Amino acid sequence: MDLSSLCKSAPVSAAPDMHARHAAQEMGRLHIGCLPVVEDGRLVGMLTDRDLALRCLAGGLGSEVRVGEIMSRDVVTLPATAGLAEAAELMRDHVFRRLPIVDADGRLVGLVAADDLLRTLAREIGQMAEVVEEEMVREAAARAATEAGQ
Amino acid sequence: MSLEPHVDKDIWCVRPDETAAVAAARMEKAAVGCLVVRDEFGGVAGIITDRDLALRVVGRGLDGAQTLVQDVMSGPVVSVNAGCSLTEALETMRDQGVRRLPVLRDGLLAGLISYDDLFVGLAKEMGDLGEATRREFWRAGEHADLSGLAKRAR
Repeated sequence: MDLSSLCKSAPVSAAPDMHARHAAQEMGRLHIGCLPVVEDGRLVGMLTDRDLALRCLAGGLGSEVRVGEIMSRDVVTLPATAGLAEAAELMRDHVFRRLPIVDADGRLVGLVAADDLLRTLAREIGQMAEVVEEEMVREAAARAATEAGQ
Repeated sequence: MSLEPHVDKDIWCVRPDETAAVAAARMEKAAVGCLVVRDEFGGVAGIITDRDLALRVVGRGLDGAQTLVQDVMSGPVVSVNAGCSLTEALETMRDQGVRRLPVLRDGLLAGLISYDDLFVGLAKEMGDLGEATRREFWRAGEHADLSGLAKRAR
């Protein structure tokens, strides 16, 4: 399975000249914790709710500062063709919980979050547990049949 | 399974009358995303997260140096007792839609339990199970080699 099936379509993004206050309102309205920052169609940074709290409040920059001044610029991206394991490894290596997915032209396709990966893995683990349960039921039936034959 | 080994006792707190800017600076210094708000009697008045600060202070255009924690924290807060099970704690998180819970013992704050900590604990158990499976394969391979040797010896 590749990541394109996991990432949210038509991702919302922020522009570098957007005010921090507006970005925070967007995160609240959309129930998201992270906004990719896009300029001229190109991904230039990422902004999280934590960036807003620490840089605007702890850093004293206030809520009128521009997104471009407080976003993280060291963005790690993944192609949509990448797999779940590759995404998990990148998250581990870079300690990011959300990764932007880009197409061959570097355009933002979507975001994949550690939570999305976890839900997919949990489903797969559930399916593995079902295999074990089925097997136990079959073995119990076979054992009962053997005992009845004795 | 007991909740006890997963409780983080190294908790960072803030007072209700401290400012949002102070809370944010403490979160940065401690590398945490959440502070427990303790009142003057040592009780839990609420919880404040980095997201609360982003949405309720930055999003409303408030001055962090003038805004008090008590005006932007989440509270009263749902907590669990130290004696409850892991399942009960997870059910509380699910029902309340929260990922962190203060843990109380005899009504006093004993620590914090976070979804992330529980997840890491579970992932370690899964990893151990995977390792046991891998080693069993390896041992089965070793036995196959031995039976081959035994046949050749005959």
